[in-house]
Amino acid sequence: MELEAIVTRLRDLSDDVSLETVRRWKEQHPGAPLVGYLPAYAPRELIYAAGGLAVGLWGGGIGVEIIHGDAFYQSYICHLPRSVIELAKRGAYSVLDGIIFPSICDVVRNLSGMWQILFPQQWVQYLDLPQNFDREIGGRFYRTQLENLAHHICGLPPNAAYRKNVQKAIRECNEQRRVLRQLMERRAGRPHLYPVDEYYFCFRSALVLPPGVHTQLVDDYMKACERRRLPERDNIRVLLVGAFCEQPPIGLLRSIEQAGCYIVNHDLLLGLHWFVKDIPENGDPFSALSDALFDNTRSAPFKFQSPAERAEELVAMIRQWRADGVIFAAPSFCDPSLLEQPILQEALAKEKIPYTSFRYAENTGQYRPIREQAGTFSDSIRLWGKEALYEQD
Amino acid sequence: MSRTDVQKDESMILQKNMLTRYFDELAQVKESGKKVVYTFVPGNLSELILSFDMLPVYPEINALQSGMRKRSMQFIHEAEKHGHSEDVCTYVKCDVGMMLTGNIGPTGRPIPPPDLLLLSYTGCFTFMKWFENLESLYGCRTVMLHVPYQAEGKVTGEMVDYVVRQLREKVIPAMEEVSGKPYDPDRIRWMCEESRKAEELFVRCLESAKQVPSPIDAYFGGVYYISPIFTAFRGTEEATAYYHKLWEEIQFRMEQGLGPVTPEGTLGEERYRLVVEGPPNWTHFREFWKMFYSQNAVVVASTYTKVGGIYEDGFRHDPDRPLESFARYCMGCYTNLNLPQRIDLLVRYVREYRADGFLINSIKSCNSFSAGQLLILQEVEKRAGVPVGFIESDLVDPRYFSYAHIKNRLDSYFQMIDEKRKH
Amino acid sequence: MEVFVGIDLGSTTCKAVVLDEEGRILGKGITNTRSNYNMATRIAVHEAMTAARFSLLCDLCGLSPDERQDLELFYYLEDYRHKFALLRDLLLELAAEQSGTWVETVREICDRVSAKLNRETIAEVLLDRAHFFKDLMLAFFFEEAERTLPAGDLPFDPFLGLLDKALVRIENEVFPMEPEEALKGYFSGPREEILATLQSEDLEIRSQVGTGYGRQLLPFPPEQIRSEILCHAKGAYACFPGTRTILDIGGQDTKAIQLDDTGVVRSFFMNDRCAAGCGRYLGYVAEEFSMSVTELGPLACQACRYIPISSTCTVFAGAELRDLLYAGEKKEEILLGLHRAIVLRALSLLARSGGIFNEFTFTGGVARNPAVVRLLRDMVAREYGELTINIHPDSIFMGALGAAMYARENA
Repeated sequence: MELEAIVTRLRDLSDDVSLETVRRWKEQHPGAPLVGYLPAYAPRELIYAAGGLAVGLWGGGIGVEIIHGDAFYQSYICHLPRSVIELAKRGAYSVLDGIIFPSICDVVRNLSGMWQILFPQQWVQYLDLPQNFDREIGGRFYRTQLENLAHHICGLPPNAAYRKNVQKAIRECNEQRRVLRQLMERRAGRPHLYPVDEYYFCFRSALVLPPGVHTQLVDDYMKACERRRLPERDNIRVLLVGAFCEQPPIGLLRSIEQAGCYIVNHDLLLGLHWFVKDIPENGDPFSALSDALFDNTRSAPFKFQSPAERAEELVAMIRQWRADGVIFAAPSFCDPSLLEQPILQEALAKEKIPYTSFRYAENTGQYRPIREQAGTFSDSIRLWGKEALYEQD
Repeated sequence: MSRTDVQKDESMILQKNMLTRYFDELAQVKESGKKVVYTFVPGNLSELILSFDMLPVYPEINALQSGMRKRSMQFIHEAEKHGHSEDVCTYVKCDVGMMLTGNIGPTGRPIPPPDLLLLSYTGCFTFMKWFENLESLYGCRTVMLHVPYQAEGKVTGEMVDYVVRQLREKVIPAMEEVSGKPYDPDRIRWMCEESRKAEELFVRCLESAKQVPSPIDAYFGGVYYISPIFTAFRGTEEATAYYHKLWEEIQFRMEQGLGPVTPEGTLGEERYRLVVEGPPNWTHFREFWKMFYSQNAVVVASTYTKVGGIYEDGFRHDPDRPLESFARYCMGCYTNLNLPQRIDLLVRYVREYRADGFLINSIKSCNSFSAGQLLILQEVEKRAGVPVGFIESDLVDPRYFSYAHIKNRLDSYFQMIDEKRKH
Repeated sequence: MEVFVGIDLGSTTCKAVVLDEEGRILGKGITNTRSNYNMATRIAVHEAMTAARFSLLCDLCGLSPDERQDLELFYYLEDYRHKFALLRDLLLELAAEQSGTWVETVREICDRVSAKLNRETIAEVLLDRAHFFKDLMLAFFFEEAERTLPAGDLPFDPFLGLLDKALVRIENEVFPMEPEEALKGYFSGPREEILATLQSEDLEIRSQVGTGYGRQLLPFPPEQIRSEILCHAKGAYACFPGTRTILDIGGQDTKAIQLDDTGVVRSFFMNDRCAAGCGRYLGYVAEEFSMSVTELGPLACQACRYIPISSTCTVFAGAELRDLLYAGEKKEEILLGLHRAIVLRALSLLARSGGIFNEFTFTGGVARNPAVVRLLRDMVAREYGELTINIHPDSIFMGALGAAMYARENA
């Protein structure tokens, strides 16, 4: 496929907040389970193993006008649940059999209960991610939940055949994660060849596609990119931290890059690239998924970690990806993201690593202030070196 | 309202003494060598902490005390200067700010730093980040107790097991190390027995509000009643003695048909009986309370008085199964219930406590309570059929308490109830 | 004759309604709220009572509606001329304090404005009581100042400063004329007896009730103060007994009220934390575009497409609008986007209060904006199906009407 066609496809898939793609998939696969999941992470393998499709519900972004969604939320709560409810109320999610709510914050947690009342025709499973990382304690607790989830998805308790399918799905998802890691590395090496919106679409499109199809598409995209010629910009390299749940609008990401900052690593749509290496494809798959959660995932605001380790990991990542600084981008009112900033920022200050921060909403329309801020950040580092300023929101 | 009985009830004096001794002990840890454990009210393991002769400290309580003493604003400023966002929970900011400025507690003396942070991860995500911030500031040890959420509206064997194993293999060993003492099952047993007694009495006190007129205010008055049982005294003889006395006093009021005690004396005529959801505001606690009692409104049941445990369905600490009790206790705290359970509870309260109306005080800081309250409002209106009201404020940031706005809404709400009665 | 008065002391306007013993509306009054709330209340009540007296007069003397209108025009014009004369004197005084050379320029401008104070030019404005003296003066003075000032040595801003100062004083100190005095010239000759009737009219306020945001400031005992939610609901229900949902967008707050079928308030939601999407916001927008508030809606209606505006935050309104204008976007399209944002915000509040039930009554100053009305109709139909939407030209008086009804019931 031509690059332009690939990009168009990626974009259309990313913009498909009303799940048209998913509807078409359902028509082609009658009887297959369709399960939605809220940010940030869900063990999608369990759904693929049942021959189903996992659908990421990451909010409506800038295109969805909110009327009904606001009926359920006061002004001091983030935007994501509003657009999710808006889309659900409009029927966009009626095609789903059930929804997974991972334990990332109180808003998503309570939304799981709201869903039981508002949309009783869909099953709901809250995924209480364990904060105890002992295989016999937290691991056992989590494995029980995985078994229950599998039961919800299949309508039956998981049997041996299903477990084999989960292994297969882990293999497929491993491949998908590898391709995304590869993409991140390539982009970090030559960001100018991977415009940030296309790059983002590579991730976002995964929310509505089966993993094999998505992997192929991203692979094709990368191959096509290596052949292109695009001018390089004199940008600094930054890590984007905090946007793991409610996503910034694409215009905002573009503005950051146009202002002089290449995003070389990030936690956007974190669940898709949360595992830093392959999950074991042999042995008991539920144990594999559970152990990988403890051993194999990068830092996340909703995962218990000592502040020192969290900070260490961030600094290590900065060195690994040769970043000049950090942009903390958190959605307004996002406690998980915002509450760890002072800890991380203090650590960065000690290491004399520059950072800047701002807040956004998924429907922010005004990019100029952020462009100015990112631009100043970029200029200050390029002109005066990294020891210069530590700008703050 | 009778001005003659604005004297302290004996239970209030008992409580005051308990708190005085507690703060004295805290002030003397250097000399006594006692270890200090910071923990949270929802899912608090006071018996366990006390059984190791350690002293519990509750940062939420410090924050609300700062709010009541009008010191929270400066603490919040301090925390914001330190990098915290305007958007985040003001309890956290108040605590961090207090710590950054010498950790001076409500008695004017510094509260000792923690030897251990017992992160009882119950009912609120922000707790995890709060203690991360404290660990970063104090450089001390944290032990995590993950209390599973009642997502399906029930407590399963696996959930109990998960908590018990964490207690056995993580929490208790950590406490043994920090305190230098071994786990004392006999003492725990004894304390659970005391807890059970206090819980029994506490439930009777709260349920007294079912009577018309109610002898207590279960929200503003209630915050004083919950203090011993939700904090450093549950499992002690002092707490049991307090609840005995409180129950006596309430029984007296019931026999005399007296209304609740307010800062301006006993409430006269009871005009409005309300069920209230949500924590109170602390920075303007008195003014807020006055908006109710000046209109002869009594809160007969509240959910805030259940944040440290729900006892009316029969849960009691069981001396024969202490760890399992602790697990079930933690999981039963109000903010750990799922939304449908909360709605069921509220509808039940409206009916059982013969309420005229349901009111939500929505707190900007607290997503655990607040996210979903608008749906709760609609469902309770539908199912309980009473007028519903919605006001907004905050825990300890005075910028989010607007007297005029709240008074406006409350007055309209009371008038609404009146109109409904006429028709 | 005994009458009952309701006063709605809002943040932007103060309204008063006078009812007779049978509950009929005799008169309505409205004025812009100024720093002196007491004055604003008295002026609104005076206007309502004056209108009530005119009603009575027309009944007693058998005047036709045209004759009544003629009478009212005469009165209001006299009153404006009276105020203008005082304004002029004050302006000249203030100008003289600053610089002798300014006096001539100011005098010239005043003369030009004075020439415009005639029935032909301002009849419409006079009859629409929600157009205030201040707004009219600002519009006229701006126009004349733009024509006159560039030639002289008096810069625009200082002139505006003088004008502002003078207007504030006039608003806070000058009471409307008594009808007898104003109408002396009108009732001469054969109509003198009408004047006599007017003079002998005896209207006594039997009871009054106050409401609105500023109701606590009214010198009324608590029994005479009612919540604005209830007053608003009562007024709306009286006008439209089929009402079940009411939306009121005022100067600084938005209210969504749900009624049961007996007119009792079931629940309400207010958005009064900030003025986003309310009348005040439109006021800022008007200033930004150098237009009058009443011109915004009609201009927005001319647009074929809208520019999406992400927030109705008054604080950022100016910056966002300027950005869009500089980017070359058309004024009317920006305005349509703005109006759309206002309606979306209102719909959110309504959704929060439980939805929109038939019949839906839309009240408040912003209900006079044709763009808002059009968008609201469209979006309500889209989200809630075909409903009866009631928009009353005098909906700004709903609160005061409800208060007056309470006053009559209490007596």
